[in-house]
Amino acid sequence: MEAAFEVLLPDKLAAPRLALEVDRFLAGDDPELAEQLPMALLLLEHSAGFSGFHRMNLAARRQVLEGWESSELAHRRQIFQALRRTAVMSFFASPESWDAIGYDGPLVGR
Amino acid sequence: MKDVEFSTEICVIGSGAGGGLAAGYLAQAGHEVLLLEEGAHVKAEQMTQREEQMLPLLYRDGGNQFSADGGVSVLQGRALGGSTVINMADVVAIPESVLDHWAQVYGVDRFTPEQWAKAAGIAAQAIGANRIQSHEVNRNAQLLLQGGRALGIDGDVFEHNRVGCVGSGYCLIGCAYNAKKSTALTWIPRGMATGNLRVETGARVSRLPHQYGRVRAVEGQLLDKHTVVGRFRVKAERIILAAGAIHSPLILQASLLGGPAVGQNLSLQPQAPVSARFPESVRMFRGIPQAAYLDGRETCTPQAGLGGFRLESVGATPGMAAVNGAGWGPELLEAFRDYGRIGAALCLVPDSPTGQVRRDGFRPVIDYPFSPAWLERMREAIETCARVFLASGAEQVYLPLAGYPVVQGVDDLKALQGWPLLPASLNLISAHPQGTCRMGKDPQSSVVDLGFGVHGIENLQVLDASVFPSTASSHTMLPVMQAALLGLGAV
Ligand SMILES: Cc1cc2nc3c(=O)[nH]c(=O)nc-3n(C[C@H](O)[C@H](O)[C@H](O)COP(=O)(O)OP(=O)(O)OC[C@H]3O[C@@H](n4cnc5c(N)ncnc54)[C@H](O)[C@@H]3O)c2cc1C
Ligand code: SF4
Repeated sequence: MEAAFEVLLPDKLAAPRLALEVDRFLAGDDPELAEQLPMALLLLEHSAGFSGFHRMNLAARRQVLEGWESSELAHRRQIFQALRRTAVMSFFASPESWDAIGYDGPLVGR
Repeated sequence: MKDVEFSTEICVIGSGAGGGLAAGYLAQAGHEVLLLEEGAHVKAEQMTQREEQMLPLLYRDGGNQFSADGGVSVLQGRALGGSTVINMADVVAIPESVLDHWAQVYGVDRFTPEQWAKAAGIAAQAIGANRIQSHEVNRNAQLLLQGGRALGIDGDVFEHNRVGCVGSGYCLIGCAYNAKKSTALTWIPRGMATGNLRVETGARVSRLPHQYGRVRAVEGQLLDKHTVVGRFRVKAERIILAAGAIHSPLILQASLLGGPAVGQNLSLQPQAPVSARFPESVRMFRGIPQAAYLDGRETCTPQAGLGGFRLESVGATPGMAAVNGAGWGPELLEAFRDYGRIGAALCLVPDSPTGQVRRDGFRPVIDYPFSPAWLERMREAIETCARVFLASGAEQVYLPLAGYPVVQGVDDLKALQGWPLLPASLNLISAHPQGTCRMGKDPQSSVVDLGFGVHGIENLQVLDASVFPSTASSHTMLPVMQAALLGLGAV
């Protein structure tokens, strides 16, 4: 997860924290849904040949993901979008990102 | 594991636009009603305006329900009040041409346009419908209208069911101010005040055992969030199914009810988001998030029903805005640095009923192939939306297509003509699934009769978005309420 997040996230430094959060979220929620993302990651990991996706350098990982984004294979695009959505939602939903974009956050509890 | 038995006169399944209304209306009419809702009762005090907290609480699958090929994100509420808790509060009745279309093409002619209009009036009043005032129209919506004027495309502001709205901008993740008048704040509490309505949340219906043309019971599981903690069985004389257009057919399929048409004829009415950066402050995330629309390119005829396309302003919180754009990586942060200057709109393109809902255990499988003609209309809608934004002064426009370069002028739209519009590459959202328990006279091609009763079953009605023979309107909350009132004999 972290390996994919480093490339997909707007700021790669947030990858370890957010990958952990998503893991925790998946574990605590709907069990059937929780199976889907790990499955997607597994496919991504093994698509990259013997060494595995997580061992590739950042640029190579980016290239793989770009390939999946515009792949002719429907399931690759689907997996790419699932990962992209999870990554960008976890990043922008978290208050740590708000200063940089000028979002002043919730109004309740102010 | 708990095992619970209930007994009631009328059991209503699902508490959204259809079920919430039905339960409240029937209780007010003096009937004993039990309302079963799978989701939780989330009160205003619990609405934290935080996406990662509210999506799992209020949405089906936490907002992660998709069509099988990942082509369309199918959004639905899963809470007391159903989708009316998380919707945009636009109030739009079924156009008369659609009613004519249903009568001519599908033989759905039991109720007159006057009766449908009367139902619209009753429902609109009950949910506090009123016109958005000009001072409530945020900059994002003004820019859409301005661009429309420049290009000669008609538009207007919406009627909505907000009363006492403070313009927080958080409609999609639940109103913390009790301003959006969902069924959980209108029909349901009014029903409860009579003492005739009992509500069970965390109650997921799985099956309707039946014999000799009558449903004998309503069976399902008691949930604590997503964990099954017990089972229930309800004995009722009359059952109203209103679990929405994805789950009502599922419950019928699991019960071997509804005939061959159940789950067929799904319309998703998918919408594509287009966003743009302006040289001024827009702050689309504040104010009423959907205040204006351009409907100059929408068509509606008795022959074809709703067609063409419309554009509607939309504001979103950062996570939802990012998810519904196409960007990722450091480039996305670059674009979002100016989040306060970004505006957005949805291209809403009415479809024909080409999809279906199938069952995989308790889960629905949503098959939704795009029709080529619909895709071309969507292409035109996206291009028009980009032109509207450029006409209202946008510096950059972002199309909902994976890999499409940032648009900085109309010339950059040329590539759109040949651009492949593929599932999970074209970003689409559905907020209006409909049609899976279609109404009609023939039990082979429809599920409910012209009185909303399931063919061949004397005590089961379907009163939700699944009954529409084709797309009812550009928005489905009021249409569902119109249908429910007619089904209940209120008009
Ligand atoms: C994001 C969004 C924005 C929208 N904006 C607008 C708008 O501005 N204007 C408009 O007119 N329409 C809008 N809509 C659409 C409108 O809200 C819906 O069309 C309408 O609420 C559908 O009514 P329904 O009764 O069919 O289903 P819903 O309102 O979805 O209610 C169905 C209920 O049934 C429950 N349920 C499902 N399965 C079971 C089960 N097995 N057991 C028990 N309960 C179950 C669900 O949890 C849910 O609460 C929007 C929808 C969404 C998702
Ligand atoms: S914009 Fe209005 S209706 Fe929507 S959440 Fe805020 S106060 Fe509630």
